[in-house]
Amino acid sequence: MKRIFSNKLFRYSLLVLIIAGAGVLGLSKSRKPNSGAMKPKKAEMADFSTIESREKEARPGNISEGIPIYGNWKTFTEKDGLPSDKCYAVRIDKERNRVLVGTHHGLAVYQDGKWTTYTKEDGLAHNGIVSIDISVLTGDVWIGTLGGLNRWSGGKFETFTQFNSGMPNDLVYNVFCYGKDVWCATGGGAGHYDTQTRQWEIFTEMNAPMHEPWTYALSAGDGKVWIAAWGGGVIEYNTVTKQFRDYVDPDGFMEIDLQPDDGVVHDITTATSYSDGILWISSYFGMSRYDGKNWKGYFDHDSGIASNFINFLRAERNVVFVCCDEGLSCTDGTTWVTYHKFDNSTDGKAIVKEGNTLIKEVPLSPSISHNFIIGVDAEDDVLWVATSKGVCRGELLN
Amino acid sequence: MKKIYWKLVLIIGVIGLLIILIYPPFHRWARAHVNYQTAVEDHPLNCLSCHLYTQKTGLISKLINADYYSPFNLALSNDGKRLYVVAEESNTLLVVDTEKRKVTNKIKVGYRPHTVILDKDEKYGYVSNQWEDNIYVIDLGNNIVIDTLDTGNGPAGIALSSDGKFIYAVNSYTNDISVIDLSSGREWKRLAAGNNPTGIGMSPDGRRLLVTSRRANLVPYGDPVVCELTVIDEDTKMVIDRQDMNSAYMLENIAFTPDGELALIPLIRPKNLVPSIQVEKGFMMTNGMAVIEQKPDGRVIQLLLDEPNEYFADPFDVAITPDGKRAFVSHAGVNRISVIDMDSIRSFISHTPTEMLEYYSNHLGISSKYLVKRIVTGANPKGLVLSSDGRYLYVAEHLEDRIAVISTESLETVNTIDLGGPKRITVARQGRRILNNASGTFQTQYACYTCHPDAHEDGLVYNMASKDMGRNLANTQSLRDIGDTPPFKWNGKNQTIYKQDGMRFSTVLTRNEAFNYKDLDALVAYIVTGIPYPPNLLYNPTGELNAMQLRGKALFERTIDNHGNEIPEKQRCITCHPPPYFTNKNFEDVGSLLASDDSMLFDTPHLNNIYASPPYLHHGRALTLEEIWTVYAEEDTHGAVNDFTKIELNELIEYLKSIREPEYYINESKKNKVLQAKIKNH
Amino acid sequence: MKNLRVIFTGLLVSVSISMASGQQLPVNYGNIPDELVAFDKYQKAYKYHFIEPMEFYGAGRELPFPTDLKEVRIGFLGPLEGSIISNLGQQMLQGSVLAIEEANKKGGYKGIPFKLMIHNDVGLWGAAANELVKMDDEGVWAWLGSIDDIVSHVAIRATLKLEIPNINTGDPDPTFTETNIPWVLRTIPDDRQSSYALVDKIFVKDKHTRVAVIRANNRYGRVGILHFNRTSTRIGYPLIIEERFMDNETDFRPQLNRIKKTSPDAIQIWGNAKESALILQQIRELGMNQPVYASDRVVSKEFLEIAGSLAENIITTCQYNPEANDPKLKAFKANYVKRFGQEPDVFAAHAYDGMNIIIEAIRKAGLNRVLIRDLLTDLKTFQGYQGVTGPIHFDGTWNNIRPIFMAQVKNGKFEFYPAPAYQKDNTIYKKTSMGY
Repeated sequence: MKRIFSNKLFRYSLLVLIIAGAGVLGLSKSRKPNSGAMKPKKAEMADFSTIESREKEARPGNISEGIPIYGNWKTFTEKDGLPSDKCYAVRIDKERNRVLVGTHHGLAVYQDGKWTTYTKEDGLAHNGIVSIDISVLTGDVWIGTLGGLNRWSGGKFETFTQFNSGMPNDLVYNVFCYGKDVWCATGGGAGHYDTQTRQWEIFTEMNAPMHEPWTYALSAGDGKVWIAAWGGGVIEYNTVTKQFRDYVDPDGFMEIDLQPDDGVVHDITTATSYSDGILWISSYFGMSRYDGKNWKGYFDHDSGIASNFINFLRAERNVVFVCCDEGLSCTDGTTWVTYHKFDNSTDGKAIVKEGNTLIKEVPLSPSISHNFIIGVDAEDDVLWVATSKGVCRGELLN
Repeated sequence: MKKIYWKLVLIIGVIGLLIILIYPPFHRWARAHVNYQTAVEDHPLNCLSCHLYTQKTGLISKLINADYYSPFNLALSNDGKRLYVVAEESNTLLVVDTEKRKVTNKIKVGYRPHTVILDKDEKYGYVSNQWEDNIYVIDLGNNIVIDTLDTGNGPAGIALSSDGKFIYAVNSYTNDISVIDLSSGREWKRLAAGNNPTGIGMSPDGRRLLVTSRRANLVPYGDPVVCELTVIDEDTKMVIDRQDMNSAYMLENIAFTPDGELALIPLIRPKNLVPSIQVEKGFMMTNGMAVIEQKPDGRVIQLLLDEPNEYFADPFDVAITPDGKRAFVSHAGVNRISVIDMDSIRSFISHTPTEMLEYYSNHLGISSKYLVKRIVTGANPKGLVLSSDGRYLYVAEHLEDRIAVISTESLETVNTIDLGGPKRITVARQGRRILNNASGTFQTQYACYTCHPDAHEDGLVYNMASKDMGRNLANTQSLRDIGDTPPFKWNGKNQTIYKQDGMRFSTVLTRNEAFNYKDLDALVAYIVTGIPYPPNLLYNPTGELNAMQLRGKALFERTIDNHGNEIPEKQRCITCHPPPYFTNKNFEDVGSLLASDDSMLFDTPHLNNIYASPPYLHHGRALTLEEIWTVYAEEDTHGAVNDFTKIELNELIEYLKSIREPEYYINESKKNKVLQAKIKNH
Repeated sequence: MKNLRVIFTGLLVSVSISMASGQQLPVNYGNIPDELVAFDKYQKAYKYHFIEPMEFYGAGRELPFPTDLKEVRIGFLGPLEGSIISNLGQQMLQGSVLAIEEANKKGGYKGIPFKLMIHNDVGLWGAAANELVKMDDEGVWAWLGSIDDIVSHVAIRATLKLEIPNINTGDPDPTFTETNIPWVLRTIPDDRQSSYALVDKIFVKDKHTRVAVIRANNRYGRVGILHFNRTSTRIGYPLIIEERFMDNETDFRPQLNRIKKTSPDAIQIWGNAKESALILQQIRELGMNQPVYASDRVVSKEFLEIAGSLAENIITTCQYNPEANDPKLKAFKANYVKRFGQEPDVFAAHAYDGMNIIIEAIRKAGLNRVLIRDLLTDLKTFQGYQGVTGPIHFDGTWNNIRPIFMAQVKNGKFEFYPAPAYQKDNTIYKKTSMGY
C-alpha cells in the first residue's frame, strides 16, 4: 500500500482526480449564470396545477356544504343608482370589497352602500357591459363589452379591440381569467390574451373543431378550457397539449334529444362552468353535467330547473347557479333550489326539489328582482344576481 | 552607387510624375465623394473618418475601439465602505472599497445589468440583467453569484418587499412588474405597468411602491403626452392606482423623503407637437422633477430644474439626504448634479395653490426658489447613492468610467474613484459622449439621447418645423444599427448620417452651431458602430420560430393570395422588407400620406426589433402593428392583406414581432451559403 | 268506393284550406315528413324541441314610448359591398327601401317617418356582430337581414343579447330558427323544405337512384346538402359522391371528372347562380348528359344568361311563385321596376314582405322592442299574412313553412309550379312505440 502511495504516477493521478472532482463539484454548485440569455426558463408559468392552486387559494369558496338557500333579497334598479335596469353580468370583487355590475348603459360599482357608474367617457370600450371577470393574481378587472375588451387596473381602463390588437371580434360575450391568460368568447371566435407575452391566440373554424366562429362563453380549470360554441357544442382545449376535442349532441339533430344522458343536451350551448371536477354546460334547451366520464342532462320536465332556456351558469364548489329565463336555480345535480318571483309582486318563493319531486317551498319576501336571470356570482354568504330588471343581493339562510 | 542613385531618382521621379498626374483627378473624386457623403463642401478629406472609425467588426475595429465599464446604477453598504457599481457595458458588478477608493471585486453578472440592490442584512445583493431577462442573486460575503431568478422582458428597477420575502422586477420591455417569491425563486405574478417602466421605489413605511415609466402612454394623435406612475399596494401586491404624469415623460428613478411625505421623480416635459422652432424660444424640452404628495389625495406637482437661458437636460436619478433636507438630481445631458433644498420645496408647494403650481410647472425661473447649487461632474452622470449618514453622495459617471464622491456639506467633488477602464477615449466613445450631451443644442435643452433614449427612440411624434411648419410630422426612429440602412429620414432625403447630423441637424433641431467636423466624425462613428440591438428574448430568443410565427413568415413571403391569385410583386411584404434589415432601402407609397404631408414617397423602414418601436408609420398614428392594416391600409395599399382572416393577420404580426437584429440574418445567410456549397461539392 | 274518394278529397281540401289560412301547425316540426322524423322509425326521442314557441320572459314591456323622435329607425343588414352575393343584398335592400317609402307615403309611424339604417355585413372578422351593436346604438326598433348563413347566425346571437326583433328574409339555413331565440322570425322558406321537394322530385318522382352532388364549400352549400343528403339517405338513396368548390372558382373540371367516374344518373348542384351556371356548362363539355338539378339561388337572370340554352330543363326549387297571378305581387313588381329599373328577385320580394311586417308590427305595438316582438311572435297577428310572396305560415320557431314551388327552365325562362306534397313511402315508415 505504501508503495502504491509512494508511486509518483499514482500520487499525481490522485491529485488530478481530486482537483477534477472538486471542480465538478464546484461547477455543479456555483450554477454558472452567464449563459442565461438563451436558457430555458426555470419557472414555467403555464403550469396549470400551479394556476389551479392559486385560483383556489384566492377564491376559497366559502359556500357551505349542501345546497344553499338565500333570502333577505335586496333589489337595486335605476332608482337606486344603477345606470340601467338591464343587467348583463355581476361579479363580486372581494379583494376591494365591492360588487361590479355590467349593465346596458355602463359599468356600475357598488361600494360602501353607493353606486358609481363608469362609461365610455371614463375609458370603457362600450357602455354595454356584457361580462366581467377578475384576475385572482393581479386583481385586474377584465370587462367584456359590446365594443371591445377592457382591462381595469389601478383605476384606468385599457381597451383592446379587433383593430388595435389580435382580438377576434369586438363583441365580447364572455371573459374569463385563467392564470396569466385572459380568455374571451366573441362574435368572431374565441381567443386568449397572454398578459405576459402580449400575444393573442384565437380559435375559429379555421383552427378549431367548430363549424363556424360562433362562441358564446368559456371557462377553465385543471389545465383545460371549455368553449361554449353556438351550434358546436362544447370545445375543450387542453392548455398543456394544445389539443382540442369537441362535445356535441350525439344524436346529431337540432330538433330532438334522443337519449337523456348521452352527451351534451344540445349543440347550441350558452355557457360552461367548471368546479370540483364537474363541468356544467348550459343551453337554450336544458343543462348538462359532465364528470369526465358520464353525462347527465337536465330539463324542466325531469328536474327542478327553472326552465330550459339558460342564459348563463356559474359553478362554485359542488353547486351550480343556473340563470334561466324563468328564475334562478341552484343545484348539486340532485337537489334543487329554484327562486321564482311572483308576477305583480315583490315577493316570491324558493322551491326545493329532489330531482323533480317537490320537497318544500320557502316563501321569500322580498324575492329576487326579476325572473329573467342573466348573471350570478356567489361569495361567502351572499349571492348577487343580475336580471333583466335590476340586480339583487341575497343572504345565505342556511 | 551612382547607378543606384539614378535608378532611385528615376523611380521617385516616375512615382512623383504619376502622383502629379493621378492626384488632381483623385483629389477631385475624393472631394466629390466626401461632399456627397457629408453634404458639405469643406469637410476635411480624411479617409480615416469614415473608413477607419466606422469599422464595426474585424481586427481594426478591435484595435481602435475599447471595452469600457460604463457605471450605471449604484448601491452602498450601510457602513458606507462597500459601493456596488453596475458596470453596464462590461456585464459586471464592481465592488468598490470606498475608503481605499479601489475596485476590490469584479463579479461577472448577466447581459446588460441595470440595477443593484442589497437586502437589509446585506447578505445578498440582487442585480437585474436587462438583456438577459433575469436577476442574479449575489452572496455579498463571498462576492459570488449564487442564484438566478427569471423575470419578464428587460428587467430594470428592482425592489425587495418590506418583509424581504419577495422581489419586484420592473420589466421595462414588456411593461409589467414581476413579483418573485424568493423562497421558491419563482415568479408569483405579473402586474401591468406603464409604458417602458423603469424605476421602482418602496415608501419608507413599507406600504406602497411607486413604479415610473419612461415612455408616454400610446394615445391617439394630438392627445397630450401622459406618462404613468404605477402605485402598488405592498400588502396585496396589486396595482391600486395609475397616476397621470401630464405633459411629462422619461420618469426614471424615485426617491422618498425619509418621513414618506413626498416622492421625487426626475422627468422631462416635451413639447413635441409644437414646431421645433420653439427651441429658439426656450420651450421645446424642459427638465425637472415630479413632487408627489403621498398623503391621501395628494397632488402630483411638477417643478422645473432648468433656468431661463440654461437647461439641465436628461435628469436621471434622485437621492434625498437622511435628514430630508436636501435632494440631488443627476443631469446626464449636461454633466451636472442639481442640489435642491427640500424645505424650500415644502414651503413653496404648501403655500402655492394647485392651479398656480400647474402654471409653475412650465416656469423656468421657479427653480431659483429651491435650487442650491449645480455641481459639475464627469461625463454623463447617471446613478446616485448617498451614504447612510448622508455625508457623501456617490455619482456614477457613466461615460467617464469613474465614480465621483461629493461632500454633501461642501457640495464639492471631494474625490473620484477610477473604476479601471481604458484610459484612452476612442472616437466612438467620444461620439457617444456627444450623443449623450446637450451642449450642442440651444441653451442645452436636450441631447440626441433625449429623443433617442438608449440610442433607440422615445415613442413621440415631432414637428420638425421645416419650411412649412405644422406639416410633415415625424415619428422618431430608432438609432439601432441605423448606419446600415441608408438613406435617412422618413423621406430618405439624407443619404448619409453625416448629412443627417450635420448642418440640417443644427438648423432644424438643435438651433445652434453645427457640430464641428471632428465631433461629427465621432458622432457618426458611434452611431455606425456602437449601438446594438437588445436580444429579442420575448419573441425570438433562439432564432427558432414557433408554429404561429412560422405561419406568419409564410404569409410574409407569400406570392399567392388566399383566392389562388398571384400577388403583384410590389404588394408582397418580402419585396420591400427583405432580410437582413427587412428593408430594400427603396422608396414607396403605402397609402399612409396625410393631408398635412407633402407629396412624397417614404424610405422603407427596417423592421429589426420592430416590436419595440410603437407607434408605427411615419406619422405614428398606428399605435399597434395591427393598426397599420386595420386602420391605415384598408385598401391593400400596404401589402396585400385584405384576404387575411384575423388568425392570419395575427400570425403575420407574430412573425413581425419575432424579427431580430440584422446580424442574425446575415449569419444565417452565410451558414446557408456554406451549406449549399457543401451540398454542391458533395 | 267513389264515395270514399269524394270524402277523402273533401278532407284533403279542407286540410289544405285550413293550412292555407295558417291557423294550424303541422304535427311534426318544420314540415318534416313522418318517415323523416329523426330516429322515429326506431324510438321516440327523450325530448322534442321547437314544438311550443318560446316566450320572452325578460323585462322591457313596461318601458314608455319615446316622445321626441324625429324618425323611427329600422335596421337593415345585408351584403352590399365586397361580397360575391352583393347583387342579392342590393335586391334585398331595394325591397326594403320600397316598403319603407310606401309606408312613409302613408304617414310613417303616426306622422314620424321610418328611416332605414343600412349596414353592410361584409367586413372585417365578425362584422355582423359589430353592425348589430351599431344598430342598438342607433336605436333601431327592429331590423331585417341577412342572406349569408354565417352572417345571419352571428347577427341573431347579438340580437338576442341586445333584444332587438329581427325578421330574416334571405337566409334559408334550417338551423337559423333552430336556435330558440325568441326575437327572430324568418319569412323565407328554408332549405329543409327545398331538400324535401328536391329529394321527392329526384328520387321518388324521377326515379333516380345514383345521384352525385357538387356544392359550394360554404355554409349555404354545407347545410343545404346536409338536409338533402339526410333526406335521400333516409329513403334509401345515399349520395354516391359529394364534391365541393370554392367561391369564385371557375374551373370545376377536376371535381366533375371525379363525379363522371361514378356514373351518376343525376347531378345536384348547390351553390350560387354564377358558379352553378359554369358548372352546368362544364358538365356538358365533359360529355355528361345526366339530368341536372340545382338549388334555389339559380332562379336568377344571371344563371340564365351564363348557362344559356344549357339551362333548359334544369329543375330547382323556389321559395315562392314570382309569376303568380296575384294583383299584390304584380303591383309590387311594377312599382319595383319603376323605382329601381330592374325586376325584383326572390330576395327583393321577401324583403318587401318582411319590411312590411316590421312596419305593421311597429305601427300596432308602438315604440317598444319587446311589444313589437310580442306582436310579431304571437302566431296570430301575422299568421297567414298575405304578402307578395304568398301566405306566411310560421311554425313554433317562427319559420315560414308554407309550401314552396318547383322551378324549371322552359324556353329560356323559369316556369314555376307548386312542389307536390311529399310522397309518403309506407314501406319505409313504421311508427314505433318504443322510448319515452
